[in-house]
Amino acid sequence: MKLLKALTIIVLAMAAAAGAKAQEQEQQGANGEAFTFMRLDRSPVTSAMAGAGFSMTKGNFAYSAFGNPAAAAFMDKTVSAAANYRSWAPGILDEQHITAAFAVKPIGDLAIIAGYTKGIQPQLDEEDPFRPNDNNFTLGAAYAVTGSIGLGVNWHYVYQSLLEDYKLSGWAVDAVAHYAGDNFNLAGGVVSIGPKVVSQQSGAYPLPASAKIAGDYTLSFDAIRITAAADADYYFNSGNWGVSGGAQVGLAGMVFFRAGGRYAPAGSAIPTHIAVGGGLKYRFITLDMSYITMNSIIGNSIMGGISISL
Amino acid sequence: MKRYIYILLACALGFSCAKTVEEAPKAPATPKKEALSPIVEGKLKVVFSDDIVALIEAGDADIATKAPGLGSLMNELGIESMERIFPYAGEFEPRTRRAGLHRYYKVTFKADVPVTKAMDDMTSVPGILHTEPVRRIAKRAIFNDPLFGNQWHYVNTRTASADIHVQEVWQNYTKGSSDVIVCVVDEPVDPSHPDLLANLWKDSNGHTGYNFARSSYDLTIRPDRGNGDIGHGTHVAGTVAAVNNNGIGLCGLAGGDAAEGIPGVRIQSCAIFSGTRYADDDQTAAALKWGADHGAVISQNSWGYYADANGDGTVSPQELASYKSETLDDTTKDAIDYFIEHAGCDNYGNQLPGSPMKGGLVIFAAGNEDINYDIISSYEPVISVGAYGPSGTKASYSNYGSWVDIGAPGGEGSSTTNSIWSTVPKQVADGYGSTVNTDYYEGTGWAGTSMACPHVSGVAALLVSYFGGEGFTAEACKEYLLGGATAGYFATSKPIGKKLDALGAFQYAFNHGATGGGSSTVTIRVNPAIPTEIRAHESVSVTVTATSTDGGAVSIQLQNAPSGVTFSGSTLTISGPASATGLHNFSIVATDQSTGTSATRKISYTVLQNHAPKAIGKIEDKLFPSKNYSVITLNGLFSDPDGETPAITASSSNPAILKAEVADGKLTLTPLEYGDAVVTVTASDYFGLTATISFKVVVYDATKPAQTYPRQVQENLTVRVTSEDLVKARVQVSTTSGSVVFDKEQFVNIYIPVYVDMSSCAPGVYTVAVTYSGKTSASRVVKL
Repeated sequence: MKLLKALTIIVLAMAAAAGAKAQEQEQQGANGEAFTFMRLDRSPVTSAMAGAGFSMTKGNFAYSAFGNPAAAAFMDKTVSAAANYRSWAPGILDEQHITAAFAVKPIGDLAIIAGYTKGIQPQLDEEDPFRPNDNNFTLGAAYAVTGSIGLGVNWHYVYQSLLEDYKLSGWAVDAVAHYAGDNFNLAGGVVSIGPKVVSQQSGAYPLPASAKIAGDYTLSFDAIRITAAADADYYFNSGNWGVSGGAQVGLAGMVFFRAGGRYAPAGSAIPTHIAVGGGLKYRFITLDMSYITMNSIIGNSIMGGISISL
Repeated sequence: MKRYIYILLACALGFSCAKTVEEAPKAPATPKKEALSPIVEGKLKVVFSDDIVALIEAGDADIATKAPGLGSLMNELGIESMERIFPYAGEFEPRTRRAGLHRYYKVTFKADVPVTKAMDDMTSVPGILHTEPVRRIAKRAIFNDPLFGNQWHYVNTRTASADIHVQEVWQNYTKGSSDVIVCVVDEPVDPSHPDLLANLWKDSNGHTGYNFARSSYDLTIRPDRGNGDIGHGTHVAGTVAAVNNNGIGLCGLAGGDAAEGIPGVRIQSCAIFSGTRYADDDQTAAALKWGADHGAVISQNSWGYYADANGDGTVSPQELASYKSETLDDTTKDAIDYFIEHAGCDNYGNQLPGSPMKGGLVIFAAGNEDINYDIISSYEPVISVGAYGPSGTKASYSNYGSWVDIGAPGGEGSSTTNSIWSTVPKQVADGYGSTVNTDYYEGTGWAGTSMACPHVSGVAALLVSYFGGEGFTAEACKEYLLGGATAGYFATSKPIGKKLDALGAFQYAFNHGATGGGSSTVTIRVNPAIPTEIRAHESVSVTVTATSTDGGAVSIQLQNAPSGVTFSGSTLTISGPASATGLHNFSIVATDQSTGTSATRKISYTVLQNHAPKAIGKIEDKLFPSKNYSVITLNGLFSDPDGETPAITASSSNPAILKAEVADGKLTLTPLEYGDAVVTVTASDYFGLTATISFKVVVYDATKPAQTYPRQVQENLTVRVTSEDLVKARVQVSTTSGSVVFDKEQFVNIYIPVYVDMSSCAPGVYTVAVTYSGKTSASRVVKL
């Protein structure tokens, strides 16, 4: 109880701080958010549903490092690890994303989360060999307060190298509370809360922090399980918002089909797009992929990953 | 009774003489300058016999033995050399010998043996057939003025006896002095004539005289007013002081020597005619007086009354009788007396300091009606001038009588070779209501006592130039002028006085105790002549030297030299940049250190106003589809009203994109990066005044449909299509997560880019997509 109380206080305090930060960030324009790459989906499961599925507790809990940290509280395995690769905006940005995540439940109801994701682009011009890149290190924890309620928090350290001699860095926190029902889940919290990123060249810029709520509902028909998920974000800084909706159809717990779509007004950190994907699971190994179609500037991107749960 | 005056037809332009010495106070015991002997000492032309020639050609050492007379002569005369006058002629030697020219020798002997003795001695020697002295010759054309050869009235080679011997005066004594002012009472003297400009008198306001006919200082020529200005005053003035040796036009009797830097006498214009041939005489008296009150010492007047009252071209006995009953009016008489008495003097009758003569000379043309009377010219104090033609006989038209003092060349008839050549304005009236264009000089049709009169004024001006100074009087000058003229030259039936003789006047002066060189032994030479106008950015350096006839050391100093004038060694420098704009005057004073005698040369020049350069051309905007450099020639883009060559520099508004450099009149543009810049080319003159030409340069990669720059953005991003045509393009800028931060459509071309304000964008990599004409081009930029 005491621990729960403490965690509640922490979460509420962070929410309050996020609120305060939100007021400051609201004053920035939509262009003024730094590190928007933090909000890209790093999981092929949620990516295939256009970002929906934040609240889903089935699947690989390692991706809690870059999604819902509270979900890890409901790990039914001891160890979960995942890795994936994405070709982002090929032919335009030609950015390569690699992600590695890990979750372990060493003691009782406490889970530890860790992860690393990197994006790297080709050199900007022929004369400069430097390749811009971004890096996100995550360390988190989740705790099952009850069998249905979980709390989780991720701490991210992020740095971005734009030029040989120009780097930016910052940190951010995700704090989420989760309720897991029999057929549904609800999650809510704040994402990417942290201090402004300071540039010596041009000033300080807020992170793409948002308040997030998500939910999903699962119907089962013998070997077929259909899950519908929905997410919504409100970005404190820009005043923008976005909603995602997706569905997953699982066959015998081995084959999964996923699809989804996101809508966000112009200037939102993650714009409107649609996605499809799927997965194959055999025993403790799962292969997942996603294919998203974004605007004409980003184009289409494909992600493929492997995860294990022991 | 009111009388009308008229221009006496045809004008004779005087010559101008340049003084070789400067006016200065009298110096003691100045030796008389000797003329050069026409016979060359120590030389004879000898014609030998064939026998002697054979000995000479053989180089026979026994010539003294084989030709005894010649041998002793050689010793006695100290013969130094004998050489053929007609050298060996090569292929033409046979006919040279057939003509006997091989026998003509130039024999040189001791210079102290008189030529006459040598000739006498040679005549008696066998084998010497003929002897002749070697004579000294002189250039006829001592000036380089192209029309000088037309001026027979200065150097008469057709009738030697009619020559006025002014060339000898030029060569040996003087060509004129700017200390002497001659007032021309006549039509206006053209104030812009190129061959008179340097010898025009000017007051402190730049006026060259006064126009009594218009009651103003306006002396511009009016050739288009009924019987407008025919150029009479300008023609007369040119005879007196057209600039000599300046490579243009013709000569004046006292016009100086431009090549030697010697200014001539100065012409002052008192116009009593203005756009008419006839005028009232109520302003002539004031004009006569004006000259005396404004520094003139000679009044030149080629005008008068006329007896042909009905204008039918002949003077009837009745008209003559009526004319002879007229006498000179008091107004004109008093004005003449005033000039004679007061010219060159102060209010108390003292000679003015710097005036070359005390008192003045009034010189009048006798008239052109072939009658024996003239109202004004017959007034005894006036020097009356009749006219004669090239043959030396009285001109058919010239008035005559015992009252005519002196005859001078006035021309006869209207032919080019018999008329008087002088300066005229560029446009003149033809006397019949039309305007005629000239080439600034005329002779044809200019004949009359009007032309003869300025010959006398010119010679008088030469006398004043040479003998003038403190104590020199008008009476003395008149005495020299008339005393040196040739008596008894003309027929007595219609007498026109003595014949003008310039050299005779000088010789008369010397013979009567006058001392020459302006009573100065010191000569100042300025080489080359200082221009009357100096451009503000220029400096002029001339060499100033001074010599004394006694060979003594002469010091040179500047008096009242304004800023910008320096003198070091023998170099006088006038620096336009260091001088104030406007008219400047100073004097060069040369002083003989042993005798104290000095000479002064007045220098007057105007430093012109400087003007800024002007851009007269344009450079079109440039497109560079690659980073190759380009060179643009800058010739003809700028001009400077002062004739200066401005310094050219160039700058680029964006040196990181484009480098602009100027060298050797060429602009080199070197693209460094893709982008655009404005190049400004600046022309600067000496004083920093500038003119500029600007143009835009776009450097782009022609292989791509669009370009974005800079690659690292601080605030503004430029997106440029590479189409020269106007197209509708869509520009979108987004973050790496796909968030669109800029989306705009507009009409663009290579000169009209899209500017994206990214100042509020967070640092990061952004994608820039440009879509037009069905093509999309994407690139990345880094927002800092």
